[in-house]
Amino acid sequence: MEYDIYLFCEIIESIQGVSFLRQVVTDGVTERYYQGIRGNLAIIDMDDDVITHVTGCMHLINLGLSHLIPSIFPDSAETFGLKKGGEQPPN
Amino acid sequence: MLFGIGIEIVLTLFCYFIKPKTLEKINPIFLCIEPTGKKQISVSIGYSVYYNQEDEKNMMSCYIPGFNISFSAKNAEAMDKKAKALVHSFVDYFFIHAEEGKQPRGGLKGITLELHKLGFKAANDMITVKKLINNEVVKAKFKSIEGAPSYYDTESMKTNELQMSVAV
Repeated sequence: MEYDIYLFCEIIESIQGVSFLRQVVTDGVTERYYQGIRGNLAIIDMDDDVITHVTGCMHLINLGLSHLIPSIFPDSAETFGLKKGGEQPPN
Repeated sequence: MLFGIGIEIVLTLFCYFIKPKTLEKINPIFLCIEPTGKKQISVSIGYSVYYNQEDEKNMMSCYIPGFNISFSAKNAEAMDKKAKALVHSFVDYFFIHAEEGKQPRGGLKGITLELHKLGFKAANDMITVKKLINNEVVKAKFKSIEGAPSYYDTESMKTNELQMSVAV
């Protein structure tokens, strides 16, 4: 499954502690560098408009935001050993 | 006694010549620094890309272990191109642009500290790292034994090498 890369970047940029470092183009591939909440570096490739859910989850783990996986990628949460989130309880 | 010493010598020679080559074949993740001039070094990088073919729209999820880089690609050709560009850019970033607070932390120090943080080890690790942090240009080969996470297909793997020339 796929996810819009620009929406993904907007979400992570809105989180306190995550900082955008720079955008570079290497060999025609556009990349954005982000620093996560524990100082880890995540390089996000912006060449395509979409990323797969697995890639998105890996970026969130790199940035120290694995707790957001169930709400952003509910279908992939179980793959990463997390409980599926985003489900509404029945009325 | 002589027989025992003989066996020990044979075993030592076996470990010295055979083991590193076998390990390198299994684990091709490395970054080798070699001085080529007074202030110039040659950097060769070995990396592997694990990939999963997703069902819908044929997007691929890719992962470069050791360097801890994840990306998506539309086909195998795009994957190779992106993997090369991302590894190149990663090394470039730590040689040139890395900062600590507002102080620049690039050069040999930047790349060495980041590689160490990611779990790369060199022969005589501490001595080599100390020399490189002090911007002393020495020959070093950093290796990583990291594999891919379980949700990547471990049988779908491509290895590649990259050469760079850097002024320090």
